Amino acid sequence: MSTLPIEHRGVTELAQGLAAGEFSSVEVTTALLARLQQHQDLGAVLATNAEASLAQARAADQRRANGTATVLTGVPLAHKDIFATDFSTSGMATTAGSKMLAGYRSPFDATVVARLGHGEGHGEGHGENTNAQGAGMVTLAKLNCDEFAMGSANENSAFGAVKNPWDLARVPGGSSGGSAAAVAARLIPAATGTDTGGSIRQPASFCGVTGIKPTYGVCSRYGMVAFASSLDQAGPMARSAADCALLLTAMSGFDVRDATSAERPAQDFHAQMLTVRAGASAARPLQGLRVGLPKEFFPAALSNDVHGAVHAALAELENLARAWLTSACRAPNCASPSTTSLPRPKPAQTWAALTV
Amino acid sequence: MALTPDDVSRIAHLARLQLSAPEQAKMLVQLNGFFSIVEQMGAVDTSGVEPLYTPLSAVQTVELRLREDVVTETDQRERNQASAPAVEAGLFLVPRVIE
Repeated sequence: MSTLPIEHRGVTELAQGLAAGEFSSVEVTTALLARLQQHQDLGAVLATNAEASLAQARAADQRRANGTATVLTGVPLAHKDIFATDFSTSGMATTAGSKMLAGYRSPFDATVVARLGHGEGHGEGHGENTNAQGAGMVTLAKLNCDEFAMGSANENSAFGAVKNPWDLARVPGGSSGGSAAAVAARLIPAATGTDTGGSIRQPASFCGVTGIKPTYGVCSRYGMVAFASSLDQAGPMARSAADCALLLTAMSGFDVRDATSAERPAQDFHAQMLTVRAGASAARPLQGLRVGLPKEFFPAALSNDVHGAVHAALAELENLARAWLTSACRAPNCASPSTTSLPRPKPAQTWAALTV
Repeated sequence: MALTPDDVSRIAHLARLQLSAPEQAKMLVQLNGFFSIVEQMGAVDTSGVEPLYTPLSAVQTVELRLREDVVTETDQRERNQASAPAVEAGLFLVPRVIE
């Protein structure tokens, strides 16, 4: 039995502890609610509702007792306040960081919120494609973000700026800055974010956590306040790739309510991650993986620390997969700001096709 | 094309934004910066490229999905109007904006 404090455990460790009966979801929820209260100076948290969270935690503990728990049941998380959370079950407003929506009580859950939480089919008006049993995670908070996700420093929220927990004089990045800061500060083991032109990836890098912008269409946009509908994607933010994979598995999948949701079979990203690739070995677990890298995104003007960090990661990839860096991008100025949209890519031509 | 200070005050008026002179000057620089990005994008040769309705169709065939024309939502007027600052006879009341 581990003596690690609750806040220092990631999703995987909390899931293991809950499964082993080391602690209950109510205990974890109580501990982390107190921590969220203690660190309001970060500006990461826009809303909590202890009563509603504890009710969800009790339901999760009951589900575990019934033997119907998933791996994530009872593990707490928090949502970027760009996701609609049904006020009748979350007790929290949905504001998108804007005073225009201050106090807004959503009558429904976003699909991502429902799938990570108590499932679809709750509330009225959820007709077909209902997935009654969600993952059973417990929502502890709604997290600050740039107003309507428009920003890259989380200084554009109507409810105040978010601070970077590593250095309070610095920004956490944005627009999912509250999510990145809360995970980095160990206020919550995982959070949702959304990414249009970097809003998960950039704050994750600023705060030293792991975040994924999934391929467009993997996660439903239903109930997500839109920024640019053909680019917006929901994704997980946590302390490790494995924790993100657990969340992504639960939150992804086809949703009839999102017109551009990808009609693909459900994927278990976590299991895929743990499966040894064909032809790979423990020493080279990524052997056979093809890695593409747009060389044009690495101009001479790139700052030394970013260049160094990315190249250290590339060296690690090279070591694990024997990948290397080369590419061509046919657009003349594709290293322009990240929101630039390129014409239809032909992957084999425009991006490096690297085979090990 | 580049915007002029007059364009900025007109847009600010239409958007009901009250901008001070320094804010207007800053906004002019930012808006013109955006236009210069759009001009770079416009320089890309897109002849023969079909417009995408979803980015996924860049890499796979995606059929536009249509659903049966049937009622799928139940009446939730009261829940949907619960957050409205003012409601009368089931209608949203909004401040008069057109004089």
